[in-house]
Amino acid sequence: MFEGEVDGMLVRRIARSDRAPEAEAELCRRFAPRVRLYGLRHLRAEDRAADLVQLVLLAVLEAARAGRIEKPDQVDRFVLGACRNAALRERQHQSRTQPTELADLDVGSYLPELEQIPVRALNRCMSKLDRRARAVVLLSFQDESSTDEIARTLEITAGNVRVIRHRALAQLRGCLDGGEGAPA
Amino acid sequence: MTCSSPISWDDLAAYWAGDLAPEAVDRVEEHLIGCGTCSAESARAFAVVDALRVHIPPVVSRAALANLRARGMRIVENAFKPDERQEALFAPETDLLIHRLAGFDLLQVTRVQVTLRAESTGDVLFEDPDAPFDPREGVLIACQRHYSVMPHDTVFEIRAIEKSGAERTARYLIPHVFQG
Repeated sequence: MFEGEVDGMLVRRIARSDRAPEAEAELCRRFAPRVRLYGLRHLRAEDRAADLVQLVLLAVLEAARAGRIEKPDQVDRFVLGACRNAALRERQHQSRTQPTELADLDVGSYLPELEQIPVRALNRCMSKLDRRARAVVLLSFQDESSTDEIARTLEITAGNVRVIRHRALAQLRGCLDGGEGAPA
Repeated sequence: MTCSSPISWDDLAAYWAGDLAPEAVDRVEEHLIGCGTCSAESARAFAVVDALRVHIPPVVSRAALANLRARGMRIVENAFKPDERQEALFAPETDLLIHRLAGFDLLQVTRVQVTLRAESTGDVLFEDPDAPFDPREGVLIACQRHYSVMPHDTVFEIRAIEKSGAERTARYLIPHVFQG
């Protein structure tokens, strides 16, 4: 419906109540997946990331309705600021957000399903990596070892770890997408 | 939907590995929050990373096994010999079943290939052309509960490649029973 409209135009519509419900829905549809990714990176749990989406989108919509987003064309910065503040509060409290009186936003409807990688496909693709690349990705993402720790463990340089890791991740992604190679 | 200056795959890998400096994290996140294209690519990277976080490879080293024990996994270990049919029982209170494929000389071996097949159909379920192994104790197979969706009449084939280039093989017939 608002395919060609930039984010700022949606914010302006919301502020002047011009097809505001549709504009709000479009704004949520665009930003919900991005806010969830931020939450997954910083809060590391799907439920907490979903809570973050709710908090942030509510804050953005409230501000847009009240005309408090001073630079509508930079609404992404406003969203990121809201993400940072909300994630910081979440981490400080180390608990899930309690529902508020404004918790009537159905965030689920704006969030596509997270991709689940089948175990068998991952096994098949992992077996195509050489032993060192497998060790690097498992030490990185499972053991959560730092790059320097991995370098010491495998007796290679930190630079090598980084190169092996991004190539291995790209190779895995390419393999899981049905090809053998890495994306360009 | 395209991006004129996309975030590179190596930056995405480093971002999800927690290996970017704080100012680089800020730069990446400022871009991702405003860019649907790069955000979608970041989601594709995350899906792999998220799967790797809980991934236990089908063939593990003794060191990896020690790490899993240290994390509190309930692990049951059984030894198997070549060409003997021996059932593996995955009990409800078990998190991980380790099949130690032993009785096969690996002392002069430089590389081990592991192939898992369904005995009834011959279908290859898994292959590892360069599997971890211990020359003294053999190959450790990590059998996980979610493997219950795979055929249960499994045969593990070990191909050992020696320094001289000579190859030897061993077969382990391990039908599985998953309880609970």
